[in-house]
Amino acid sequence: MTPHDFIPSFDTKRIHLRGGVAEDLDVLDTFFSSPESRYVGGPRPRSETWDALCAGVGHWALRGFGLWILTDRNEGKTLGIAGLQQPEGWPEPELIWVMFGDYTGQGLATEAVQGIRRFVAREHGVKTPISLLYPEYKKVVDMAEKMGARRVKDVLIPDGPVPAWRFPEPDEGSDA
Amino acid sequence: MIAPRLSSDTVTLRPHRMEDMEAFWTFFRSPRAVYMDVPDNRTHLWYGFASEVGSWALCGQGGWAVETPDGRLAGQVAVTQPPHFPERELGWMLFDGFEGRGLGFAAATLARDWAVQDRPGAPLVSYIHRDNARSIALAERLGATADTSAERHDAEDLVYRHRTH
Repeated sequence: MTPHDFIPSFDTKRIHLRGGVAEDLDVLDTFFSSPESRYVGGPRPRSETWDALCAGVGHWALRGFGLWILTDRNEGKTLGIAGLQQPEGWPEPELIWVMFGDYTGQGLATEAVQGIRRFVAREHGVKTPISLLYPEYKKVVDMAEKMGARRVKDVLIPDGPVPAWRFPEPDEGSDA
Repeated sequence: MIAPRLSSDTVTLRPHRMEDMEAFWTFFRSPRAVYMDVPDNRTHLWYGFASEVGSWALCGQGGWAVETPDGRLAGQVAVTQPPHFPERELGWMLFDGFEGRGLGFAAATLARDWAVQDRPGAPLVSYIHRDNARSIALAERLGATADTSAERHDAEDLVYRHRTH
């Protein structure tokens, strides 16, 4: 697995965040072909997940920021995806996070998001990112609000206006 | 890794840039894209565009922006093999107004020669919609031959096989 020189890696207490590699496809496809992915762009065929994986890496080359693959620092298992994304026509970067089924309920998503909020504020100047969430996806809305995110005016993306939450500036502290 | 810059007298292949996106959007909304998988909106276009870039870092091949010698964006060529393609593909698209002066041929030649040098002997095909006469003509001009027994992901495609050495 080759890390890419244009994608920074960093660690939180339990998580290693790195750029995507071709070998990630199987794990991503397992999740994105399942109904579990219905709020985050799935279910979808393997070819679209391949495109998304490539696009996630290309995002860094084109915009200088992007998404990370989250892996377990001890065992190297792939836990999920998180980071900033701003496709063409989007008004600003969106903070997203997706944890795969086996790794929810352990505070890992919160740990990753808090680390990313500090990292992107410091490295990319993105201090108060938005997240575009389904209001009915209560679990994730609650998590965002627990970290201080508040519902704001709908954001207009090329698909139309979508419900949005905005994070406050992160607290000082280490990424961990 | 990003796309290597390749040049001939007629054409330059270079990495994509953000500002290329508008020309791709215009292309996909034009009748010229009738034989392509057309993105529904700019977000979908972004995924296709960014994936051509990211493909280089992930698997050492991907898309190039095609530029005229005076620096105008004329289209795209790509060497890719997404999971639903049975074989590695050489693909191309040329924007409105850039056809008929050998740009497509020059760009596809540079990309094919790069692909052959990169993986000598590895199969290389072009999947072309059976009604896309202009693209079929270009494949034949490149010396590719129709392979009627080759597997294809889309039943409406013809498969043109390129030389591999």
